[in-house]
Amino acid sequence: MATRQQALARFPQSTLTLRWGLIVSISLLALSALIPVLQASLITTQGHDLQLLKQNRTRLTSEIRLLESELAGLNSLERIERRAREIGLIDPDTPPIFIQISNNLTSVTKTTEGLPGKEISDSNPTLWWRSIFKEDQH
Amino acid sequence: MGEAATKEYMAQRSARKTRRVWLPILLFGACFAVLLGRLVHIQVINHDNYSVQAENTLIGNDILEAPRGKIFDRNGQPLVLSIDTWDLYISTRAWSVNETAKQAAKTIAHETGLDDKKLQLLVHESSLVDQVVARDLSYETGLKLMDLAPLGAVLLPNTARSYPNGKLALEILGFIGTDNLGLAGIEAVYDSLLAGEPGNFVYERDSRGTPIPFGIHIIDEPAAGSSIKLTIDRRIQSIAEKELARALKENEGTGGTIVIMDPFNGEIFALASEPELSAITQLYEPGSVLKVITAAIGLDLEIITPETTYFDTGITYVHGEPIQNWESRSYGLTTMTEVLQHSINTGSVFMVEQIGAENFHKYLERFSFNTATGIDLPKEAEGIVPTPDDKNWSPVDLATQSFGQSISITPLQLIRAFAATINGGYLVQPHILMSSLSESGEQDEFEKKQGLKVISPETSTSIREMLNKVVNTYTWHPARPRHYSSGGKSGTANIPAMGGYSEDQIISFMSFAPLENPRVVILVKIDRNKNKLTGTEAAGPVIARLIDKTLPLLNVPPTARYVGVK
Repeated sequence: MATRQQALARFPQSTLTLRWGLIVSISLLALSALIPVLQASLITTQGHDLQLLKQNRTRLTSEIRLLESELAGLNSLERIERRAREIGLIDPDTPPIFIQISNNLTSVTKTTEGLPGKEISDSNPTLWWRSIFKEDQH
Repeated sequence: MGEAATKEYMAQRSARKTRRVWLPILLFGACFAVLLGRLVHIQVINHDNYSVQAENTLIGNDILEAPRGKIFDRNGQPLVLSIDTWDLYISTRAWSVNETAKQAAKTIAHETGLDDKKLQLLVHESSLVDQVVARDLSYETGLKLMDLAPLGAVLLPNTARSYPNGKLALEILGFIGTDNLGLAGIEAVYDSLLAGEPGNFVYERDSRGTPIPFGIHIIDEPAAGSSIKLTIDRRIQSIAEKELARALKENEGTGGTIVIMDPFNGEIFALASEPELSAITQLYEPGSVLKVITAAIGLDLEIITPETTYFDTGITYVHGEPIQNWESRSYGLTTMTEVLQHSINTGSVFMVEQIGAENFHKYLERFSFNTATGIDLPKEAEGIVPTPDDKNWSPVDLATQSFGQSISITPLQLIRAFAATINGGYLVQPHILMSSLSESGEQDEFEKKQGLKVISPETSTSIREMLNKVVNTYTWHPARPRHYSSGGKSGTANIPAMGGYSEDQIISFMSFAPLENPRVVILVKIDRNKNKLTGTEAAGPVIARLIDKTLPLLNVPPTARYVGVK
């Protein structure tokens, strides 16, 4: 008798377990059905993005080629000559000056003898923040 | 009616009834068989054909042109570039409705400048699925059209050539066709290098033939062509083209040629000619310029020296035929150097008589006057050098060949032979290609071969000095550059006509500079100059200017003794 009562007492709990199991199973099934859909959606989106990126790359490559062509046009002899005439340059009557440098240079300073002398500064270069302190002293 | 008769009647009726049932069955069966047969015909026998038709209706495919390689000059300045363009196709199905076609045509016409009515007519008369209506639309125009998306319009990528320096060196560079294949010049010769490998792509359309957005799929990516670097210097080429135009204008010439070449390796710095490429395709009698070759042969055989003398009376007879000097001048006792200085015909005949026909032709063959130079440009002609073995040979021909008549060669053959006389005696290979660079970064240099030795270095030195004396006279010489030492020889020859020579002439001057270490050989040729000036008078000043302008660009310092001399 006691066994039967015990069994009866357990019955509502078992129904509960069965319901939960059903819900979980259905949910799992639904999820597993959703996974391919999600995958397909993700692949499609990525494929679309990839195609957009490819198109962008093609567009940029084309623009680079156009810019190269434009740059070459700006660097053309015809344009350079036209610009030279505009700013008043003329064909030189004299040959260009060729400077031939001999191999027996004694020192670098010798070649700069004719140039204006360099300003002599302190051996320790003044740091920019020192001037602030100097001004403060006044 | 008896029972037996009734049974017979019923049997006949039953048989008739059975036939009535079979008749429609047979009829329907036959129809079904026809349908089945047609189905088999479509689905099995002609499956591929209909499959292609269906694909053509819904899927378009085309070649994706590879960008052609770039062409640079010797200093890396671009001469030809590739830019992306668009080819515009119209789906004929999409334009089957007039109103739709009208509106789309107007949009396209507005952006491209095409005539909208002609556009509609072209598409309506087309039997193709997609009719091309415009090629090589600019990249920007294509993008605008894409944004506007006129119904039925399909824009397919293509490439076109861009020439940043305009018409500069166009005869050398050549051009390509609508199929992007090189048709002339360098584009044709090095088409396999420049073309690259085209790719493939497909685009999808809806049932009306309108392309589906994002429906373009590249099946095979195209591989860009290799870029090439030429021996041409665009600055020198520009100078040559301008000088040729000026020379033709000043001398009222009908055509002409300027070739500037490195005498030691055959690199062509500049090549300008009118008509196009006549420097390699046109044969002509070079005239007195060939006396240099005759003198070189004589010196190389040690038959003459620059100081060898003969007595010039102004006329000589070869097999009874008189051969006279220019303007019948006589020079008395004359050295071989003076023969070149004054371009004395009788002196040239004197030299060839010492050399002999066999030796002379052996050397002409060594100088390869009878074969093409093999320059990497199309349609090069071969020279015609008559020999004693020829049927129409006359002994007078040998005499006239010594001063450049009775022999037909191209300007390029002449400049190559001239280069050999001043470069130490080697016949170089004239060429335009310097190197090629593939997209993957592999670089191929032009294979330089040691040229055939035709004369000794000593002979070459002597010729250089003799030619320097031609230009470096006590009096002013038109072909003498202001800033550089040089040497050269003129040529003035009448053009052969039926049975003799016409009054028309071809004048030329060939030069090298500087004297000590030649950096360039230059040939200037002017055809049929109406002002009748000689080669020295008309082509000489052009040579002088070309040397003074070209050598600084090649970093050649002025000849020390010439600096400050005016």
